[in-house]
Amino acid sequence: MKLGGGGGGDDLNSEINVTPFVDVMLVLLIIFMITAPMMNTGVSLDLPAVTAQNIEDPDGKLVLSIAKDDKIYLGGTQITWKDLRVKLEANARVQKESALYVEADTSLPYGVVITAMAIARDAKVQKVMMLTNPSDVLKLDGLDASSLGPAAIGATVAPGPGK
Amino acid sequence: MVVGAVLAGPRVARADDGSGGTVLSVSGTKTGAYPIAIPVSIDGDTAAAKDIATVASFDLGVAGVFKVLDSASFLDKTLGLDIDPQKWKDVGAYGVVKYKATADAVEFRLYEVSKGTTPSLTKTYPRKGDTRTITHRWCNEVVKYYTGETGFFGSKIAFTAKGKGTSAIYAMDFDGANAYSVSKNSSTNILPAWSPSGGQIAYTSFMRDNPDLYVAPAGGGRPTKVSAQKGMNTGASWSPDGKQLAVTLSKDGNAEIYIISASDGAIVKRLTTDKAIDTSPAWSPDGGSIAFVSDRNGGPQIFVVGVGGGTPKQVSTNGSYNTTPAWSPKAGKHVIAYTTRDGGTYDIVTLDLDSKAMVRVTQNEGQNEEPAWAPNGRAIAFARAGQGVFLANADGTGKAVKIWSGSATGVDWGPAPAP
Repeated sequence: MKLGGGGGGDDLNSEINVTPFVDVMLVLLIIFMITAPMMNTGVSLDLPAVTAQNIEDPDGKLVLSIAKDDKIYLGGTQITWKDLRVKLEANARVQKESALYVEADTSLPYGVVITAMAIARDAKVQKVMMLTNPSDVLKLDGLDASSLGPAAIGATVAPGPGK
Repeated sequence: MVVGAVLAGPRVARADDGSGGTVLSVSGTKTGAYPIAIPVSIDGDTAAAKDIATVASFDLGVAGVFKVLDSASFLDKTLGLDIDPQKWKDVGAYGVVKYKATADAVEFRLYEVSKGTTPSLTKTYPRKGDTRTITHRWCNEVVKYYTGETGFFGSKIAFTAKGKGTSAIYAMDFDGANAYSVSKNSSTNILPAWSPSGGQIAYTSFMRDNPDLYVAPAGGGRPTKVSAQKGMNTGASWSPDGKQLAVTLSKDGNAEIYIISASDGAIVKRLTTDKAIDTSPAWSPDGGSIAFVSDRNGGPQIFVVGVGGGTPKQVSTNGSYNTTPAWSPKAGKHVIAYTTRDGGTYDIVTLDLDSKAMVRVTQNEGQNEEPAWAPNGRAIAFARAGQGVFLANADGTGKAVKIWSGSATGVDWGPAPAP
């Protein structure tokens, strides 16, 4: 029986060098949007209501919750933003699944949610599942109302005569 | 999935207390290790609590079946002896050890996360001994619960500590604590061997210039000369009943394997008659065979001969240099660990004499020699040249742990601790 090791240093290496590909893979953070009607992490949040896939097995997922006041909870236990990376890195389940479920209050600034995702990525989480409330349609009217004003919406909905 | 199989393992009825225990069928891969959490208790005697967590984490970490989880990840803030199972599921724990130390006692609980808030095992120990001893005893219970085997926590390891121009026989706890000199002389003392009862250590000493064989109380103390034949009296290995020793004698000029009486050194039987060098005997746990090293076929190789004599059979076939055999204590198994040279490095391997399966215990880390099995066969202690004494999982998984720093050889592991 050969006990490994000790190959000659002069042999040509004919294998494909995969290192550059691995580098590319590592910077990819895969993000899914998921509806979780049954999930209860004990943290009170107003989740964005958008159309999304239903979660399988709503029980037993490890969820990172970000509340309206920027407080964060991992599995319902409040932790500090500073501890988040270590908590995720040391977590055997997160590292095994390389996945994390995130729920953030709908009113939170974009920057806060991105910060949490950046920390997750640094902690070697490769898949982030963004939890949402179930909805059949995307509610775009309200957004346009605030961005363009009510008159603008009317203009797009009712085209002027002479068209 | 490997870890799934662990939980789905069969249950056995145990004769000792009539309760059931889940038998761990750990596959031998790193991912197969059972993830267990040992959070530091934050109520009661907190100073003792820290020591208990440290000792328990070390013990279960080297047990060969568990992966002790990083406490930095823990989320459950439940005080006392209870748990919130979901919070442990969230950090990937299958098992959780909780405990509480007070001035009078230490109470331990083992939870299986899949079974909820009812503990699988509960023990309370009065605080008579130190907390280390109490924690070792508890960890033995945990190992027994999962594997049905006796844990090795609380057992002892002997070795030869090399100094300048001298070498001493040392003994210490299996985790490297409480090391002390057994030989207590300034001469050269080598090759310690624990008696099966653990009460005595046989070793070879040059204190009267010739390498004679002595037996000393394991706690240290005056050694008794057992064999002082002309030439070598070395490499003692006890018979399982403690009445005889297999040794190397060179009284007739060449090193041969003999069986002698452990009490007076009288020769019972000569096992080898070959002009090559025969040395380093190891008595099998079933009492029927002796493994030894011989260079009769060229380089040193491992041979096995019956205690009744006969023609020795070469069992090691890899490489050109294999030495220091040690039998696994596992009943019904015929596995020998030994030192092998592969290229320029020395490593520990195990060889199953029945299946011929070979497992490499050490790799790519220093020069590793002289394996000694834990009393339950789950771990192997060995010497790493110039660095010290290490423990490794016998199945080759995980990373070896240093338990004693210094220049050491001749490692031997004592019997299982009293329960």
